[in-house]
Amino acid sequence: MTRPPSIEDQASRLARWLEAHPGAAPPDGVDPEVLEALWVLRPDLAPPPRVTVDDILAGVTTGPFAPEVVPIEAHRPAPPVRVVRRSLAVAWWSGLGTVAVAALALVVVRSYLPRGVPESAVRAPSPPVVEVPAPAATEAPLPKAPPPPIHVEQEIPEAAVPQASPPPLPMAAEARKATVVGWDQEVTGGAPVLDVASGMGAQAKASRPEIHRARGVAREEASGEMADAGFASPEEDVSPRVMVETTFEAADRRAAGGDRADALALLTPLLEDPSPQVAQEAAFRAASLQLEAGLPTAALATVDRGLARDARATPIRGRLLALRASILEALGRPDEAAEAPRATEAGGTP
Amino acid sequence: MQRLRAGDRAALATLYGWFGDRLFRQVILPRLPRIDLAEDVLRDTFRLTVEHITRYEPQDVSIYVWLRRIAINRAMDVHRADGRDRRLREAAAAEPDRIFGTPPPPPDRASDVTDLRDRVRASLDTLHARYAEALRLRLLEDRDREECAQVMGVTVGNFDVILHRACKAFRQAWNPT
Repeated sequence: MTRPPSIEDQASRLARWLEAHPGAAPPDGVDPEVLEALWVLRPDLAPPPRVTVDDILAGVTTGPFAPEVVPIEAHRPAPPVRVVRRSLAVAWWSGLGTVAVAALALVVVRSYLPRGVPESAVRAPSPPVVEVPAPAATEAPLPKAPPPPIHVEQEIPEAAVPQASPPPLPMAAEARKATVVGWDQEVTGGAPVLDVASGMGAQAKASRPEIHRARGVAREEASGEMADAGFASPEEDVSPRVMVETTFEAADRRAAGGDRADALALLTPLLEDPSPQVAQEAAFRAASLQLEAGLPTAALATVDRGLARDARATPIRGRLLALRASILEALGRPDEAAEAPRATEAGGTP
Repeated sequence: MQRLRAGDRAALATLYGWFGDRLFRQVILPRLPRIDLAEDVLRDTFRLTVEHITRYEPQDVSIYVWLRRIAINRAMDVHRADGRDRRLREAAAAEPDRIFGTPPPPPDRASDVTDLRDRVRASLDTLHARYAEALRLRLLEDRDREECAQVMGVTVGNFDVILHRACKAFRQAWNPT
């Protein structure tokens, strides 16, 4: 253990620094109280502050310099991938069903025919299997096996919809195409889409296309889970609550797997949910992820966004307020942390 | 001001360039003479300013007046909190049972430093006369150390030690509140 410098040594260091290096970093080994007295009497001798405009802006949560929060996308859009899956599935199974019915009819008719009648005389004039057009890309006969997995962005081949199939799904071809294009534009557009996920910092911003792709996959996953739960298509009457719960669960799995950015991307649309409870629940989950990621400022903005949705005293609002206090503590603002819940419950701005 | 209200980062940089260093040295450091805490206060001052810039109404006075008021309030808050923490640490080390069983003192927002010079002078008057003289000569009058030593009738080395001790004594006597 080294002994502190003697008074004489400290005095000498201070004197040399005062003569030669005022404004630079103070000398080591000088009693802090001596330096503090120096800053009171001669603040001009202190080193310049190490505060930058970026440091200031990093802490801003409200006002014109606050990080921009923009609604990301329409509320719970019907994922086009489900439409694709539904349409092609209908095409395949309709085609197979038609073939089966035709074969059965042929067997029945043949069983009632006299032996002398040629087979060609009873063959149906235009079997449905011929009328059902195969996917334009292949012209191959209908496969026996179930269709292969469909890529997310695969466009619906219009020729695949059989004429004998049930009435078409309400979404027209133009609408489907527009949805796909809109999705693509969202991926490549410059709008601040991932406002919550952008809190992940430069890394998230740098990999924004990857996040978008991941979000597409994650959404497909959530949508697939809905199908497994019995909601085969967005056209069916799916309870919004089930959709929300499925999204939350998908986000939880993403977060548990370490993909916080993906989880945030899933949660972000729910921040604009018409239901204040859903929006606040999403805000709580998103802010928790941001806090875990070491982004207390972004987490605070998300919490405040959730709190602004509903001022009623609800359990989720209480959780948000508690989280807000924790964030303020993490930001080194314990006084505000102590006052925030009371101020908010009293109707003030958090 | 319009650019600030529109969230113009360059305008904020200009504002900070104009007043940041001045606030740091003339307003914050004398009240909170710890570099790290003073930097926090400086950052918070500008943060609070831009967060509430839309409420600012210029009334024939510079925005510096507004910045200064925020900086003073923030510095005093941090100073009190730091002082409480320090006293608490010291007292807790001495009498843990008593100090933790006592409620914290109520927040004191009554005082506001309006004239640092008078307070510096008052603090100097409480010091030993030679300490006060050393501080006046070397720091307030900015004379070089040889001249100071000559005026005080000591060697340069002795003056350095006197100045060092005088600084420490002043810090213990200094209370901006």
